[in-house]
Amino acid sequence: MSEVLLAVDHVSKLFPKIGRHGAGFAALARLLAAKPSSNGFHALTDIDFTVRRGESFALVGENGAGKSTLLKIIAGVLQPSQGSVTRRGSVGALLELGSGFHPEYTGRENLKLAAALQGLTGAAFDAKLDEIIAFADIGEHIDAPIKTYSSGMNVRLGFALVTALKPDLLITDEVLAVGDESFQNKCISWMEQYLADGGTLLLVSHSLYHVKKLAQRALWLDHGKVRLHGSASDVAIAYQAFHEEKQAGAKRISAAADLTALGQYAVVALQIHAVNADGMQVSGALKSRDGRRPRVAVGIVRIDGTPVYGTTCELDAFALRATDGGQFEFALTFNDWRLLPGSYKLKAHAMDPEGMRLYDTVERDFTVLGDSRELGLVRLPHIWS
Amino acid sequence: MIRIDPLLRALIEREVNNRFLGGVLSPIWWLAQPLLTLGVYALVFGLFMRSSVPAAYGDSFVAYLAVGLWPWLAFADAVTRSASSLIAQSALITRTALPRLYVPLSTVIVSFALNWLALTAIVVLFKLLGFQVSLSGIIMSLPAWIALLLIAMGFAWMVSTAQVLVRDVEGMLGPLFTLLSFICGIQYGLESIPAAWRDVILANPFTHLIARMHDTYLAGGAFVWIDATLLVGGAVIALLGYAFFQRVAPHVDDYL
Repeated sequence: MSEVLLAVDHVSKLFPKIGRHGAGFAALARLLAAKPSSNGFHALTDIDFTVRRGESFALVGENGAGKSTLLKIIAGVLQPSQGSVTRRGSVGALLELGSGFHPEYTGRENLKLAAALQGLTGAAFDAKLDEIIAFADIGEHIDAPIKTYSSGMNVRLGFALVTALKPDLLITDEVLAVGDESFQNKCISWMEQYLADGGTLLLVSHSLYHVKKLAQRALWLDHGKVRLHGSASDVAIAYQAFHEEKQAGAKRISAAADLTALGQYAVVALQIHAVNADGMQVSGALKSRDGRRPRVAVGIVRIDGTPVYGTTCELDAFALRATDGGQFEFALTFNDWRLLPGSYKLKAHAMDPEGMRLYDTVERDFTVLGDSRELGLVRLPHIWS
Repeated sequence: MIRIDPLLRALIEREVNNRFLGGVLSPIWWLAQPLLTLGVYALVFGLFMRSSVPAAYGDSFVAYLAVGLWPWLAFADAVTRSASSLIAQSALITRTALPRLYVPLSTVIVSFALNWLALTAIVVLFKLLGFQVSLSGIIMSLPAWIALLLIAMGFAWMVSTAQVLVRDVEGMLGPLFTLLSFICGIQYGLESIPAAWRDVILANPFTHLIARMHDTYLAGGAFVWIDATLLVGGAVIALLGYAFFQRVAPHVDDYL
């Protein structure tokens, strides 16, 4: 196993409470007496992980989950309240937009101090300057004050510096979220080459695409605590499922509000009981105002709306069961369905007894977990020869 | 040759640029401001109040004022500017692993370097104009300058971190320094103070530092034992300031 470049050992961070008039003498006295603050905001609680040389590691989480705070602690900018961080080798950090650039100074002047901060000085800096400016590709703006730069140009400059430094451990915070697509691609291909050359990456990104593409392992931070720590694809899928669940919750509320406005036939319940790589169990119930037995159509689409499969009870010659409450129930099992890992939607439509008109649609999001690099929607049986 | 950390050098360069590039008058302000203070003091204490120059220091009140005033202004300027230095550089220190010690340190170094250069030029000018000044003082005053620099460093480290938590610190410095400047023998000789109060003035360490400036620049004084005492005292204050800073500075992000 390769050496541990970064060890985050049970790190917690508490931001002390600050009143309207600042922290005051009491806080100063407490710091001088080296007494930890007891009340405040717990930004991080007991974070523990290691990153080995050659690994790529991603941090995901919602805004305010503590990702940037953790990166700052790792980069040595912030002190943890408890626990410790051990770093080996050179560390390059791109924290937030335009890390530490001074708005009044030109790009070139800012590069000099930023490079010195990362240990690149004197003749070594001069030798790399042209390379840095070429990568940033911001033309004559390099000699204009940073305050005239767009956010994209700021990131270009910061990232260009990192490319020249080639640190043992590269820490980036959301840098890929800014900048145009061509520069993003340039950064990603540089990062891929950096990783291929044995570099170690720790990145924060809201883009699960970037996480899956660049990282091997990932950690999901939720309100300052580790929610999941594992392979990048597992974490990405679980994190995506969490978001879909949140959105579905919002939809359910609006669906309940719509119940009064239902038409002749309506889907009043739709539940997913179990879902995995092999299949899914679904149950549901429909309502009929005229007491006639409605029909149901069930379909699966990819989260972006691409249809995967659809069928109706009529096609399979299945009649919904009437319940004592005047509803009509069904249960449906998909087995051996060969769906590739990813996020999907289950749709149920209420139809008239003739199967001619569609009255109501209810959707449920679901996720198929797994670690597959195959492409598309379903696994087609195949044989190589 | 002393090797200066490239980061400290970069911060010093920035500090110099900040002082010279700010406004239209910035390039001359660093010299004009002390000269104006000198003019005001010369008018009030020299002309109106007829402060006398101790016999050993010649007969020019302006020269007497200048060699005490510039070191004091270096000290007051260094500490006052340092107070807000961490807050001013918060973008840098909350996003990069910049050694925080350097931020107030670079401010102190630049204040002292500029004021030392200014006084050196003025002493040479006085000499050319025929005032009673001693060029050897430029070298002989160095221990006193270094002691003052060490004290300024200690104070700068303390007030820069304290200011982050207690934002009134910088405001308190102005009145404090005004008071101190009036009780260390810059504007008048100790002889003109009633004997009962002389001990109070002598209890102020800055009185001895300013007296060494007068001795060296005006009376051609050489190194004496008190220089060593002042240097040790300065070093103790610098170390105290350093310890204070090391306790507080790692946590200033929580309050910035």
